[in-house]
Amino acid sequence: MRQVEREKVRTRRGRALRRIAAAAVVTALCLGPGGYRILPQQVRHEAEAYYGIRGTQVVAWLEPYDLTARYLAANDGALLWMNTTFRLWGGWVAGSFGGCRKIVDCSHAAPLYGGVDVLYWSQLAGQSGWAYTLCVFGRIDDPAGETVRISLSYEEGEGRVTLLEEELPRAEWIQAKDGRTYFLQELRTESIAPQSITVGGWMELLDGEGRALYRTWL
Amino acid sequence: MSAMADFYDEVLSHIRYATLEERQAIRAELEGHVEDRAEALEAAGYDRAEAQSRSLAALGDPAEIGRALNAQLSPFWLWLGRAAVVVLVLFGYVLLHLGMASLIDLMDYHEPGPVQTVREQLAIRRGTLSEVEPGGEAAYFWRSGQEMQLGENMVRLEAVELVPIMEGTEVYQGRFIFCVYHRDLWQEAAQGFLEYLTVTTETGSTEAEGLGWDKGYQAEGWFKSYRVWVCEALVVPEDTYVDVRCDCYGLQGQMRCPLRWKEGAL
Repeated sequence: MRQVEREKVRTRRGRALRRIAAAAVVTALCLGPGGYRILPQQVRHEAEAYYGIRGTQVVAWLEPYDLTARYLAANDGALLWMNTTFRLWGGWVAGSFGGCRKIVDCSHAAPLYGGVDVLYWSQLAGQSGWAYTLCVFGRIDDPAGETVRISLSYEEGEGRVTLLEEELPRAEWIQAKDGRTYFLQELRTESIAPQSITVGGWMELLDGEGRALYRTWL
Repeated sequence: MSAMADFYDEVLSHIRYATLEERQAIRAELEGHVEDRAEALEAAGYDRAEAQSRSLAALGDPAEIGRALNAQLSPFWLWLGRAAVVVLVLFGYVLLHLGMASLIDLMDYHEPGPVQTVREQLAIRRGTLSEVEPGGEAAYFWRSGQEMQLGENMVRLEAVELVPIMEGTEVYQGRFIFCVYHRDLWQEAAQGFLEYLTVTTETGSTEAEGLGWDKGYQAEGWFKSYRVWVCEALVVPEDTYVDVRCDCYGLQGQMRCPLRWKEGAL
């Protein structure tokens, strides 16, 4: 009897080890040559390689929805906005299938750097247009700044149509571990706009008395 | 027979985590023991039914045997093996999908650039792009090979081509063909900073912006390990050099590239 038990235990372990080995090989093939990205950070490193930068650190996150990881990474010279989504094929992706990435150059000294990205748009009941959910992000390098005023618009005909105006006071800024000040905010438009617009506009840094210190175009 | 079957079923009912194969093996083993003992008893003069009955009784309490076997059969390896199968199936499916996609890509693959093989790609680090040749209208052409470092990437001026823009004038359209590659052979070459690459002539009359991929040099190496980028600028014979600059994302690089009017005349 004892011999039977020993044999069973050994077989069970041997079979498990063989299966683990096979799973490890297949997983390694997926993660290596297959390019399967199992972590959102892998996508950030890919973006770093694409832009030729390195050493970015995540400084802020947006609350995730579904299978998304949305975060702002930064180093001294750039802001890297990553909107990543998990897909069964390929793992975490950005730049396709709904996710995207954006970079803002911070090489040249300025009080404010900013960027904007469209997260998604949705149709409201009874409306013919679309409501946009946007993400604004940036870095503030001027300690005199107290508020960031944001004006987002899109091109229509020969003019621009304002999509959203918002003010982000200092209380909504983020003090990151690197000692710099950032902001990252999800905003939803009240107005209705056509589908597939290119959102632009400007951001302005205001001091405590509401005077504009600097304006950057998006 | 029924008593024997009931006995085995009773033993097996106390084993919680066992595969069908393991259950069959345990049953066969028990049957073997009972049969061996029954045969011995039959040889000693017992009839068949009595011999089997005594053999079963000698094994002991079936519940106790079942519990003892259950304690011996740790579910750890069983569940680990099953988890491995789940991972295997999941990633196997993904791998199959990726493999099919890669196969389709490979079938459609057409390298438009000047370098087509890994071997030649390796040569980029040692020499110039062998297949960059001057266009038919070019009046001057030379290979440069001058490089500057931008972060982990190298920007290399591969070749310069000067094409007269109008007959009877000494103004040329200068086409500056750059190759970008990562210092680590197996890393992807960066692309994001290329639009910040500028070429300024000595006389300062023109500053070129990158033309990107639309001039027949839209090459990406195997696994994107290099990229080719073209800038255009108007050049006059008074220009003896151009300055190539890049300043973005905290990456800064500059190189002064001489214009080889004498050597490059075609």
